[in-house]
Amino acid sequence: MITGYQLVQTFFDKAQVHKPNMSPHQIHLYVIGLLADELAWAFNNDPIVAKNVKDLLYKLDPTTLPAPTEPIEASQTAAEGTSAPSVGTVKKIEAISNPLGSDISPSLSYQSFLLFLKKFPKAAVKDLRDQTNGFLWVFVPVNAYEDDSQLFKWLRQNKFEWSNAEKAWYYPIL
Amino acid sequence: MITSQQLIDKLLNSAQAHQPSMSPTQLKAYVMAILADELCWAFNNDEIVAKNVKQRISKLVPREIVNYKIAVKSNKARLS
Repeated sequence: MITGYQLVQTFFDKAQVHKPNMSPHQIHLYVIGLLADELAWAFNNDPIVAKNVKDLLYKLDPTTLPAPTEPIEASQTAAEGTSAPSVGTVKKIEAISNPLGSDISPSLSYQSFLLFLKKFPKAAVKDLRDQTNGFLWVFVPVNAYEDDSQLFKWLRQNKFEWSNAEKAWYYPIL
Repeated sequence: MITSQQLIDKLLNSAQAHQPSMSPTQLKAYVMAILADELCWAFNNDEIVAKNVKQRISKLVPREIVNYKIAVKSNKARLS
């Protein structure tokens, strides 16, 4: 079992050997990058890590993210001895509740989202939020609606983003 | 799918909202601690994350062997 402090120390020591010409400030940023890189991988591949991070972000700034779901089973507190700030991080060790059909954000309910989309029958909704890092998608056939239609304005206003790869709109995880 | 840059940006923004009186330097240290805290939990509970981190550390200094004890984790199968 390692602590956050040990992890930071290890990365600092190794980074200093690996990048001997870096200034302390640069080493700081380099280590942040390494930690973020590894955590992003864990976030994308472990739903419990993703949920922990999302819950933590919500605790830091409740205005930007949907409220976290309540823990289902017994929870485990963060590792002792860590240098991390005390923001009441709770680590869920059991399954995450089903997010399908749940509210999209504190200001946008799933029901009002569906109600709005009813006005645009060519748009299709695909809720994949029960899958690992799955998104809520809105598929709109090419040329189905004008570029400046109310639909696209509404999607942008409500922080949906366009995916070039999928050719669809999605609500981002973070 | 998120990137490390998105994660850092998001954490910095949220940390700034949570600790508005912190200086930029303090915020960076705060974010580093948050990242380390979350990553160490993942390290201790996910063998693949632990393996990835150890590989990353060994790439920084290849001749050293990193040998942390790994906590018992669930038997969830994951793609590496």
